[in-house]
Amino acid sequence: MDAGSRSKLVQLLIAKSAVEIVLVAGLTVGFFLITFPHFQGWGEATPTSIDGWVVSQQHPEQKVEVQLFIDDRFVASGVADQPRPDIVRAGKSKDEGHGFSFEIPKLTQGYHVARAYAVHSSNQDKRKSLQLIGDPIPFDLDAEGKARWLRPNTPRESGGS
Amino acid sequence: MLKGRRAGYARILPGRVAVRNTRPGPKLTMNQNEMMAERIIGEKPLAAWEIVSVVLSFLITEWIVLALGGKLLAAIPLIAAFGYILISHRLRGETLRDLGFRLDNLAPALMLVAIPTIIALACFLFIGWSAGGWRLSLLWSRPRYLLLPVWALAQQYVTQGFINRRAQTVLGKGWKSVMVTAAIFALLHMPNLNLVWLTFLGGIVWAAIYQLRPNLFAIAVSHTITSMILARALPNIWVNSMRVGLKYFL
Repeated sequence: MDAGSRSKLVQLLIAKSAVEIVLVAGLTVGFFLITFPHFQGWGEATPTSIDGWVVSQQHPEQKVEVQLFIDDRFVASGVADQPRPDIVRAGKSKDEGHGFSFEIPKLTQGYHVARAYAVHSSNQDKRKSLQLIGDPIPFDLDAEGKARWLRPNTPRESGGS
Repeated sequence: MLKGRRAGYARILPGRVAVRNTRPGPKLTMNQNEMMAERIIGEKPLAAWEIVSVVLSFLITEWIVLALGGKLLAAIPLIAAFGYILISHRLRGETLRDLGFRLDNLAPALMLVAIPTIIALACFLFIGWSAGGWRLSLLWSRPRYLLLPVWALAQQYVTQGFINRRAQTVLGKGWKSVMVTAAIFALLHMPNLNLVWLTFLGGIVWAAIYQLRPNLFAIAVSHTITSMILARALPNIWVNSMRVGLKYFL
């Protein structure tokens, strides 16, 4: 094969690689944006429940589905549509119906960690992703079954469960 | 820009450079790109690069585009790969006959491919019967099997007509290029491990036969029959509906 033909093939190989790089990069970014939209939110432990709020940045009017896991085990699922006037006052949302509240189930006394996740569906509901809302919520459960939220930097009083 | 001619040098044209021509005769002019190609890449590295590039296109299709973007977008790397392959054949002066689209050696190629194909079929049928995985009645209820010969011919065209031929450019005719071709054919069936080792064995047989009797039709016939029986004789859990790439997990 002559040098001219070889040169053309080299140029074609480079062009083909460039097209494929652009395609893969575009797909990766697009997939990430579609599959993992940003959720803003917060969760905390009250004596009897895990409460919080969540707002989808992509669709602020949408009521987000939330799943609660305690100690990495699924506990409950629900929609964040309860009134939270504080998030409107704080400028996090235009409407207040983005709160959630899950009753803490019966657990052993001691240390536990709850995690609330925003559920997002994509690809015509074929694909679902879970994104942590805020931070993990550590709490201590006393003998009466009342939870005490261990905010970050709060010393734990009882041992692990 | 220089104008006119100087003894011993070709005339300098826009976009071209002068090349020393000490002997009388036709004037030599080389495009800068051509000179770069001459200096930078030889025939073997170029053939190796072609193999890597085309294989990457198919891996991108299987592992990324089909899983994340769907069938429509999958056409982009496929068109790029097939377009490149066709241009490469043209620039290298490869004819359809060279590639194996021919009938003159069909009978001897079929004779060569028949024995390993029959052995493979007997193994698949026996193993499937022993494992209770036979679903042979489904063969006639799936219209998509009618497209299998076209699909097999397309796969063998890429594997043998392109990869095997370029592997021969790099490594020469013989077991090295046969093994490389078979390994690439198996790689494209990842992560379906049962298919990977079966396609590796099949790839060795087909690549070796192609080097002896380059006929794509004979190899495609063998590929069609073995794929069909493999898919329907063995338990589905062993072959996972013949899925490859990221779709294997979905």
